[in-house]
Amino acid sequence: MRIPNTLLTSNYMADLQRVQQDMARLLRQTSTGKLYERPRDNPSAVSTSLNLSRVISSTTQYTRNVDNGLGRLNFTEITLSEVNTQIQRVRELTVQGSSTVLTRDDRTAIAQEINQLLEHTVTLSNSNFSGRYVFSGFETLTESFRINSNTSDGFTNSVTYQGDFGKIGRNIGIQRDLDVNFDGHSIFLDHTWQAQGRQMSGQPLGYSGTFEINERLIVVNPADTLADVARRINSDTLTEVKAEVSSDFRLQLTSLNSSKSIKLRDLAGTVLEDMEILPQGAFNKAQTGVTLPLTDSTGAIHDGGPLVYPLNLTTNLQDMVITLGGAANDGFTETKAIKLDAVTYNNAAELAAEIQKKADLAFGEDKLIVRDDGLGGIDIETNVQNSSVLIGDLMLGGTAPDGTADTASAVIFGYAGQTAAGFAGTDGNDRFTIDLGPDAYITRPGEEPIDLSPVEINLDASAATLQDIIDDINRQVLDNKYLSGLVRAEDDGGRLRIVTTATGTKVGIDDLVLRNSVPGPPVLATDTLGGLGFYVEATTGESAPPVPAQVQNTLAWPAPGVGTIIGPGNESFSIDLGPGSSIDGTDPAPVTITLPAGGFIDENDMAAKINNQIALSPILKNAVIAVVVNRGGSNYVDIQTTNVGSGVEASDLTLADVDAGMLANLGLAAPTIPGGGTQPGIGEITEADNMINTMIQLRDELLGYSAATSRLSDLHDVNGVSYDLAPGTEIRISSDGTTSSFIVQRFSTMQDLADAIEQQLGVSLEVEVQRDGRIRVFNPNNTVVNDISIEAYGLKGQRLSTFEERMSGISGRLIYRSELASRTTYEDERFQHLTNRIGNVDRALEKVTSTLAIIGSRTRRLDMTLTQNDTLTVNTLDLQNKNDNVDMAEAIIKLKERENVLNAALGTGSRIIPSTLFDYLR
Amino acid sequence: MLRGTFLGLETSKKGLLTARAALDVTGHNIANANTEGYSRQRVNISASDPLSFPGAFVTIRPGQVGTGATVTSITRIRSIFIESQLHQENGRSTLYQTMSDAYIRVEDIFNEPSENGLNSLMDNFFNAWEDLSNDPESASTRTNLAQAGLAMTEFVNEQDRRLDREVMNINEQLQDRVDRLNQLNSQIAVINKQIIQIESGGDNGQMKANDLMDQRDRMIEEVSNIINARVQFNNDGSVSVLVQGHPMVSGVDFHEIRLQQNQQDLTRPYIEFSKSRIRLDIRSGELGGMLQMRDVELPTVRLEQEKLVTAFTNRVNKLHIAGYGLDGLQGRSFFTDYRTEQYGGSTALPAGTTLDTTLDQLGFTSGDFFIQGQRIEITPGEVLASTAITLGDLFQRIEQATQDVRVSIDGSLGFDRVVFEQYNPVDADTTLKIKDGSSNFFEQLGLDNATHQTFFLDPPYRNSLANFGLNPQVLSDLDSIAAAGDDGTGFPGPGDNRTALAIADLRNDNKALLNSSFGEYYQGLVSSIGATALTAQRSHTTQTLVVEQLVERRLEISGVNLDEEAVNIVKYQSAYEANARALNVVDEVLDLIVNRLGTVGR
Repeated sequence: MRIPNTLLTSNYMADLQRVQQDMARLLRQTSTGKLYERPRDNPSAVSTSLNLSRVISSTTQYTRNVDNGLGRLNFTEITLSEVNTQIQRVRELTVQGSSTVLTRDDRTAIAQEINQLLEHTVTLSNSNFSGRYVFSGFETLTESFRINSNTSDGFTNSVTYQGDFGKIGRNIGIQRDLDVNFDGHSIFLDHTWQAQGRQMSGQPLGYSGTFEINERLIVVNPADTLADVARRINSDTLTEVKAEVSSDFRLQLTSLNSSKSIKLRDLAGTVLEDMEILPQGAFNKAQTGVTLPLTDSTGAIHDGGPLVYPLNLTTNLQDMVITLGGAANDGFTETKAIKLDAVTYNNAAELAAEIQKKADLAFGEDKLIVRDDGLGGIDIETNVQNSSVLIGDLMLGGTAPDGTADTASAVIFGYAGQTAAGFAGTDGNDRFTIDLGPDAYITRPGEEPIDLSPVEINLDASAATLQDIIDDINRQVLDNKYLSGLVRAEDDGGRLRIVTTATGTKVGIDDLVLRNSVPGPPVLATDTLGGLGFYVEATTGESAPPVPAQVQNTLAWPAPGVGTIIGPGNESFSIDLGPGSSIDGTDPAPVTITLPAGGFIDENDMAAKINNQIALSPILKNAVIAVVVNRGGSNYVDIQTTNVGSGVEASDLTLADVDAGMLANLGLAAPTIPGGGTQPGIGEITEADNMINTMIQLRDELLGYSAATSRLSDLHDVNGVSYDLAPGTEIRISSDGTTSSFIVQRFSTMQDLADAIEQQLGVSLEVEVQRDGRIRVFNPNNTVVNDISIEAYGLKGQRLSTFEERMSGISGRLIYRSELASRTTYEDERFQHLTNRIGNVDRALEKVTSTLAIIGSRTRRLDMTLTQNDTLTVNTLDLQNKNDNVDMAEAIIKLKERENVLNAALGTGSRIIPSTLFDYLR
Repeated sequence: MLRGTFLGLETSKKGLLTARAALDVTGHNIANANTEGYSRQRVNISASDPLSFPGAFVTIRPGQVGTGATVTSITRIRSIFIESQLHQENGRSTLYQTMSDAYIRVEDIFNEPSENGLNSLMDNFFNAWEDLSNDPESASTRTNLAQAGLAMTEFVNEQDRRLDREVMNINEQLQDRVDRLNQLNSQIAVINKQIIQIESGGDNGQMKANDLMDQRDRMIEEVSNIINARVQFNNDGSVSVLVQGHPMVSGVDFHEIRLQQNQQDLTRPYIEFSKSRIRLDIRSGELGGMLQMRDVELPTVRLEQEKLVTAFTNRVNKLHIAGYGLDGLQGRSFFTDYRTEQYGGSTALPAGTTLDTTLDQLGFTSGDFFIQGQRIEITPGEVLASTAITLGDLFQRIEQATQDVRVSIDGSLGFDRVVFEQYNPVDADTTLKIKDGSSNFFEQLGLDNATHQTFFLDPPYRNSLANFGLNPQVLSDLDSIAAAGDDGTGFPGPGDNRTALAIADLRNDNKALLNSSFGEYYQGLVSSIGATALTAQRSHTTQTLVVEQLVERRLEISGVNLDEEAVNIVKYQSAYEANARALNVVDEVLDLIVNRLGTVGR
C-alpha cells in the first residue's frame, strides 16, 4: 500500500479532531453538569427527563394542594371543637334548667347563658378562613348564616343559611381528590323543616299555576319541568327554601331557616296540591263526609293521613276547623276552630288526645271521638248511636252548611238526683262562667251580632240546698247586664238546669256555654260544674240522661249475625283503582281478589290474606293495602289506598262484589272505603330540631316566652289593666285606603291578630309576634312601612283607646306591647319539653363529633399523602439526577483520559511527519 | 547497408531528453505534493523504433538495432471507480450533514430539556389551574393563571414563527446552492472545452491536460456535495454531469437549473431545468438535505405540534365554556376559539334527550362511521351492556378520536339535534370529514342529510400554533376565567372550583390525545425529534468515515510520495548521467575515428 505524505497528516488531523470533539463534549458535560443539552444527545433519556420533571412538578403542586386543604381542615376542626364545647355547656344547662326547684331568676340566668352560647355558636358558624367563609359551601364570599333578630331584646330569632351545599375538592394526586369543606346547613341546621312532593316525571308539567312559598310567588308554566320549578324557588333567596328534585322526581323542599316552617299556598291552579307537597299535615286533603260502613246508622269519619313524628307544631300552623251538625250535634250545625298547642307530639296518640281535648271544649264532651288510627294518622269520628247522621255532619276544614235552626232555648242539665249541696257552695271558691254566644245578643238594626264576654258566677258558701244554689245563680244573672233576661236557673226535678230563656231571640244551643272558671285539669274540688252534675243534653232529650255514647261493633269481623266464611272458597270481590292512581293517568282495570277457602282465624288473618292477593297484582301491589283498624273499640278490616306518590283519590278505589254478598260478608259492603285514597301524597315534616333552633327554643322556654300563643282576651298592660279585648271586639286594620276587620274570638291569639294584619297588608310585608309580646310589621326589603292604622271597637261599639294607643305606630312601625299572663306561668309540660330537648342537644353534639371524626380521618389521609408525595419527590429527583446529571468523577476521568491521548498525540505529532529520502540526499 | 555513424549520438540524445522530461515530471510531483486534488503524474517512457538490418550479407548480428527511449505520454494516476464512489458518498454525507445541522435549529425551537420548554410551560399552566382550584375567589391566582397561559401561548406562537423562518432560511440557502451549482457547471463546461482543444492537438490522444482535469475533478466533487450527480466520461476528454439522467453539463454545453416558484405552495419552490423545465426530485447532497428538511421533516414536526395544540385548545375550552366565571357568567372559552366548520343533523332527537340518554333508549342498535378518517364503531354489546353507552359517552369517544371535533346537542333551530363542529383545526386547510359507515348510523342519530356550514373567519385562520392565544375577554377580565362548575341551576358560587379541578386534571387524562396524555404526547414528539436528529448526525459521522476512507484510497493511488519521487530523481538523474556517459563513449569513438585513425601514415 502506498502511503502518500498528505495521507499521514490528514489522518493525524482527523484523529486529533475526534479526540478534541470528545473533550469538548466532556468539558461541556462537566461545566453544565448535564448529560445532554439537546434531544439528540440521548432521545430516550430526554424523554424520561421530561416525564420525570412533569412528575416532580405535579407532585410539588399536589403537595401545595394538600397543604392548602390541611390548612382549611385544621381551621374547620378548631372551629368545630369550639362549637363542641358550646353545645356541651348547653347540655349541662338544659339538665340544670329542667329542675323544678329553680326560681324564675335562676331560669332567666340560665337562659341568658344559653343565649350567649347561641350567639357564640352563630359567630363560629360564620367563621372565615383568610376571607373565605368555610361553612358556606361554594358561596365562600357570603356570610354563612344571616341572623334574624327582629326583637327589641336583640335576641336571635332564627338564622338563615345563606350558603349552598357545594363540596369543594382538592386534587391531592392523580385521579384522587378530597373534599375539604362542610356546608353549614348539614352541621348547624341538620334537621330543618322539609317537605316532599309526590313522584312525578322529568317531563314538562303541562299546566300552569301560581303558588306561594313563604309568601314568595312562584309561577309555573306548562313548559316547566320540576327542575325549573326548583330552580325558580332557589333563585329567590327570600323564600329561605332550598328546592331539589330527587332522583325519583319528587320536589323536595328544605328550609334554610333554622326555625321557620315552610308555608305553602296555592294561589292559582293547584300546583302544590298536584305535587302533593303538604307540609301542613295530613288533614289538608281529608275528604268531608265520607260514609262509614255502619249498618244501622250513617256517620262521618275523617281519616287523617300519616304524619311523621315527633311532630313539632309551631304557631304557624293553621287552625283546624271542625263543623259538626245534624244528629251528631243535637240537630245543630256548628263550626269551631280547634287550635293545637305549639308543642311537640311524639306520636299520633298524643296528638289525638290533644285534639280530643280541644274538641270536647269546643263542642262538648262525647260529640266526637278522636283517635290514633294506628297508621300514624288521626281519625275523627262522630259519636252517635242509633241516630241518623248525614253526610256533612262532620266536616273538617270546611264551612258549615247554612241552615242553623232558630232554637227556642238551649238547656243544660245537671244530673238528676244529685244534691248540689254536697259539693257546691261549701268553700266560697266555687265559680263557673256562663258564656253566651253571639246569637244571644239582641242586635240593633245594622249591628253585627257580638259575642259577649263570659260572665263569672261565684257560688255563695252558704248555699245548702239545690234551691239555694238556684237562687244564688238567678240573683247573679239578674245583676249582670249581659245575662239578665236571657238565662235562668231552674229546679228540674232535683236537677239543676240552666236554660236560655229568650224565646225568639235567636239563641242557639251553642250560645250557652258553661265553663269552670278555674283553669287547669278538672280536679274534683275545683270542678264546680262537674260538682253540680252538669252535662249537655239536646233540647229534645229531656226524659232521661242518655246512655254514654258508644259505637257498636256491628261491622267488626266477624260481623255479628253474619256468617263466617267457611265455604268452598273462591269468594271474590274486585278492587278498581281510578285514573289518579297511575302516574300516566290511565285507568287501571279492576282486579278481582279471590279469597282462599277455610275462613279466617281473626281480622288480622283476613287482612293478611287479602294482602297476599293484592301482592299478586301488579296494579294493586304497593297501591292498596288491607289493614285492621280499631274503630270505637272494635276491629275493622279496611281496604285503603297507600297513596304514596300515586296520586290516588278517594274515588280511585272502589270495591265491587264478584260473588254476591262477598263484600258484605267481609264487612266491606259500603260504596266507599273510609278514608280510602284520601291520604295526601307525602306530607313529610321533620321537626326543626337542629342545633340552632334547639338553643333558641331552650332559651325561650326557660324565659317563659310564648307571646304568639297568648290569648288576646288575656292581654293586659304592665300595670295589670286589661285591654278589654273581649270576644266580639272588632279590630279594624286600615292601610292604603282599604280596611279589613278582625273579630276577636274566644281563642284568638296574638298570632291570629298578626296573621290578620299581614293578610291586610299583603305579601310584601311581614308581620311577626316578637318574643317580648310586640307585634312588628316590617318590610323584608327594609323600606319604611307607612299608612297603617288600627282601630278597636268594643262590644258596645265603643273605641278601645288603651289598645289603640298601644298599637300606635312609632316611626312607621307598628308596635304592640303587652305584659303577658303566660309569662308568669310555668307548666309542668314545659319542663317535660326541656327534658325532651336534651335528645336534640345530644344529636347536635353527635353531629359535631362525627364531623370532627371525618375531619380527623381526612387530615390523616392528607398527612399520609404528604409523606407519600415527599417520598415520591425524593425518589423522582433521584431518578432524574441519575437520568440527567453527569457523574462528575466519570466525566473528569474520561476527560483526563482524552487529554492524555491528546497530549500524546501532540507530542508525537512532529514525528508523524516523517523525514523523507530527501533528508538524506545530498 | 551500414548503420549510421552518429546513431549512437542520436540514441544518447534521446536518452538525455527522456531523463530530463522524467526529472521535470518528478519535480512537478514534488512541487504539488501538498496540492489539494492533485493527482501524481507519471512519465510513460518507451523504446523508440529500432532500425532493422535485414539481408543475407549481414553477418555481424541479425535483428534490429535500438534507437533509444522516448516519452510517449505524461498521465495522471487516478482511479475513476473510487472517484465515482466518492461522488456518491459525498452526496450522502452532505445530505445527513445538512439535516443534522438543520435539526439543531429544530431542537433549539423546542428548547428541551429546559425550564423554558413547553413541557415546563404546560406544567406551569396546569399548576396555575390547581392554584386557582385552591383559591378560586382570589384575583392573584387568576393573574398567575393568565400569565402561565400567556407564557405558553407565546412560546407556541414563537415556535410557529421560527418554524416558518426555518423554511424561509432553507429556501434562501437553496437559491444560494443552485447559484453555486450553475457556476460550477458552467466552469466545468469551459474546462471541458479547453481539454478538448488541448487533447485534440496531440497525436493519437497522447496529449493529456492533466492539471485541467484535476481542476475539473475538484469542481465535480463540489457539485457532488451539492447534488446527487453522476459523471460520464466522453471520448474527447470532456465529461458530462448528469442529475437523474438529465445532463447539467454535456461536454461543452451547460444546462442551467433554477429554483421555481410553486404556485400550489408559495413557501415551497422547487428545482427544475431552466429550459426544459424538467422538475428534479433531489434526494441527496446538500440540496437533498434541505428539501428533505423543508418538505418532510419540518412539516412532520409542525403537524405533531399542531395536533397537540389543537387538542389542548379544544379540551380546555370545552371544559371552560361549560364552567362559570367569578362574574356568574358562562359560555366563554379560555383560549381563542375558531369555529371553522359545522355538520348539523336535520332530524330532531326525541324530546327530552340529554347526554345521559343511552343509545339504547334512542332505539340504537349498533353502527359505525368515520370522522376525520377515524372509524368509530359501536357494537351491540356496548349498547346493551348494563353500563350502556350514553350519547355523552359516544360524543366523548368521537372527540378523543379526533383533535378538532366537538360534538354536542344543539337546540338553536328549535329542536334538538346532533351537531359536529370543527374548532381550531391544525391548519386552515384541514376540513371536517364525516362519512357514514356500513350501517345506517347517521340515520339513527338523525344525521342523514346533515347540513354543512363553513365559517369564514376574519382575519383568516392559519394554524393552531399561530392562532393559539388567550381569549381577549379572559385577559381583559380575569373574573371571566371559569373555576366553577355547572349544576344546571346557575352560578354555584365563588368557592366552586370544579371546573378548575377538571381542567387541572386534564394533565392526567390518558386519552387526551391519541390515547396518551398531553405530556406523554409532547414527550414522544421531543424524543422523536431527538431520535431523527441523532440518526442524521450518526449517519453523517458514518458517512464521513466512508468518505475519509475513499479519500485515503484516492490518496494512496493519486497522492505524491516524496520518497518515491526522490528515488525517481535519483533514478532519472542517474539515467541522465549514464546517457551523457554513453554520449561520451560515442564521442570518444568518433574522436578515435576522426582524430586517431589514419595517424599511422603520419
